Amino acid sequence: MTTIAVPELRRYAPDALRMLGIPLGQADETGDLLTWTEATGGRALAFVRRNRARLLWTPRPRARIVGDGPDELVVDARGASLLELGVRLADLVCGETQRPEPRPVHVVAVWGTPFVPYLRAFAAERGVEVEADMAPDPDGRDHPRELWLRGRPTAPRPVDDDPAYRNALARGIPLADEDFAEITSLFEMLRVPTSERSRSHAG
Amino acid sequence: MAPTIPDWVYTEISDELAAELPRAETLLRDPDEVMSQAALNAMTASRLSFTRTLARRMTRNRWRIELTVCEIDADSTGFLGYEIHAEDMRLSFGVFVYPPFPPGTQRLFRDTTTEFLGILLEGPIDRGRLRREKQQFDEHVWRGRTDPTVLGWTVASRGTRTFDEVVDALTTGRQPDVTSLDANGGYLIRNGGFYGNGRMGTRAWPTYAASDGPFSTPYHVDLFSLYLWRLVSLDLADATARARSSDAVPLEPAIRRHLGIGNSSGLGTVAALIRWPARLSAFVLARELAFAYVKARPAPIEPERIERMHRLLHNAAAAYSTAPIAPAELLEPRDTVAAALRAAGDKLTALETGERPWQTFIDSLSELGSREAVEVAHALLLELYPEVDELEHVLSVAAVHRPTVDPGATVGSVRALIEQQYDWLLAEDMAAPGHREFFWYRSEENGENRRGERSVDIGVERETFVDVAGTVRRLYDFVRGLPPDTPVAQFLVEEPEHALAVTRVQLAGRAPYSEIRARVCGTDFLASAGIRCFLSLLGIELSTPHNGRWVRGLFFRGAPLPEDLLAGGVDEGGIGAEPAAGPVDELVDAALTSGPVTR
Repeated sequence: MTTIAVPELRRYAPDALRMLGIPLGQADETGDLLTWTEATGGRALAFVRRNRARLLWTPRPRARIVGDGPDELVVDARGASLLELGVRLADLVCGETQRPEPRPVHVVAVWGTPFVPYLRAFAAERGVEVEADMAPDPDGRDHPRELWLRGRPTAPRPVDDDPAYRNALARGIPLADEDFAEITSLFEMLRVPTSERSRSHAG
Repeated sequence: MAPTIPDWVYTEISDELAAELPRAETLLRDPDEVMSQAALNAMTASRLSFTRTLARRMTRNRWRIELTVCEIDADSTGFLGYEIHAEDMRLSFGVFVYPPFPPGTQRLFRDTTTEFLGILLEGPIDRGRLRREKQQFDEHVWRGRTDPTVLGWTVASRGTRTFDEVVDALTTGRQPDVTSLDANGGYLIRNGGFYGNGRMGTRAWPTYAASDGPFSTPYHVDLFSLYLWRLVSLDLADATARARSSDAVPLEPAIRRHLGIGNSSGLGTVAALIRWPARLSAFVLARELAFAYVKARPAPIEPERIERMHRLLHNAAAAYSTAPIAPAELLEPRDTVAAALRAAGDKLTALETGERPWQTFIDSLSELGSREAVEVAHALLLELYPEVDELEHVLSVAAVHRPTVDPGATVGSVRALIEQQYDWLLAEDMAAPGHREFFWYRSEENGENRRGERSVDIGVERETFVDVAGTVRRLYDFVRGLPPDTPVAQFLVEEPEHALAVTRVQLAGRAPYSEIRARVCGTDFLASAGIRCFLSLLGIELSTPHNGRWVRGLFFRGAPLPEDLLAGGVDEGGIGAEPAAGPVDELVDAALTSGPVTR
């Protein structure tokens, strides 16, 4: 068991996520999602370790809005996980809540159950209470399935206010050694091999 | 276009200062003027720099820092232990002093050995605990592990020539030559970095920054470690001299106060500046607000303030005259800056009239031919109006601002913001040769930041984010063809890789000074300009580019010593501080009349 500090994991997360194919432009916000989820007991790193091959594929799944009617907004995630799409979906619900007649967001073909609580916490910080219903996962293999998200205004609540998060911040997060090795090795993979030429451009 | 003061600033300051700000707002400088590469290169430390705000806090609250264990041999190796009472925190700082590196060795970021290891620990000195920390460092370096009772590990190295010079002088019963020390950097030890806020498992900064605690301001704990290294350098020189000779004398207080702690920073500093635009905005905004506030002071200006400004300009000119030099393509010649500062002093005689005397004074400096002197004059003016100190709350708030996407906005509003806030970028031909020539990355050698050529070097796919110009330009090209009423949230569900760019653009609309106006990946970008900017915000003085990618300089020159903190003395640091007493004044005068010291 190794205890990792919350800011330490947050520092590793964006670089590690890039090695899973998360684009540079999303790595920071996804780093927040990964760190918060791990800190609150969501076993986010175990998810990464278990699904590393499943997450890293080309071409990337490209979500599309396939329904934009008066009753719901339908997003086809095309097999993307909530690790990569969660923050964007939370923003979509928050954006809907600002409309005169907010619509629920219906997501199809999405997976990544451990990250649902972060979507709710992220939205709560923006003053939106989100009700999230994910279709059952009968065999526990987290297959792509449907997710319904409904938002309504509430008093903003900082994402860091979660007691489990505050506890992790104060004491660190105990990690299985293989999870610690996974995150640090992914983080270090973003570093570029050295050479004399590379050293001459150091600064 | 002159910026508008964000509403949140008013909640961080007193009603008295808030009432004055509307008059100052019109004098805020245009971001195009403040954030250009040339302006960043000329930026200097001020009373609102983090070293100064830390020194004031330590003095105001009479922090107690005592050297309680001193076991140093004649070869200057051994152990030093400090007990620290910082308001409600009791800390200790244990320092292991290793043998010196061979003469001429330049310690590099990627090195895995050190000359000094310091451990900032909660509670009193615990030798067993400190030994375990040392063992972790010796065996694993930065892969070692610790726990949240440790605030951080820090390393340092000797400035070999100056350290030996001082020890030799003290051993033979004399004081060292201050001019020679200044010419060689003005320090005895060079900081090698503070590793805290979770690194290696250390205590997370937010757990002791949440309330108005001793280290609640950003960078204060990091800079406190530098302050401690400064004390270590002075105490170690004394202790080594004592170990070598019973006739040794201690370093005079005036010289102790005069000496700073050396620092050398590279590309990573610029990457950090770019990575945190909300912080950059707040740090620069606080300075610019303070400058505008002072320049808006109506006539008449009290004679005491004018006299003080005269003295500050004189001292700053002296400091520039004896500072290390650098090639002209990297730095304004020191003698040009010094001469302009002296000439600025002459202009004070005609100051007493006019609606905004200080604004007129600053405007008049443009004819002196030194951009850096104008920035120094701005910084010195703040010394005359300490009420601007409360703007440091603006700095503190910045650390907790976490910019995110405004999902309710439309793509059309994002496009409009780019056209307003990034017009400098849209005017660029991004396809022109050299404009995106470089990429930045972190090397496998301890994560050291380096720069590569896109067309030659490996690692482009692993580049560090510094290419704001390219990223925002790509976003603009994307949104230009979309229906303007498309909600941003819908756009980003389908094109999520633009989330970072949208966040920055929306931030730029409400946070002035958040972006550097330069093509950071271009061949003409001078990284040392960005490094000088960040270091000035932190409080470095007389920073000197070693080359376009490394900058050296001094922290805490003239800052209070522990005995000054206990006395609750006035903060006299900064570039306008009185130089060390004694023969130095004559040497400084000689330097002022004969030009810079050759080095």
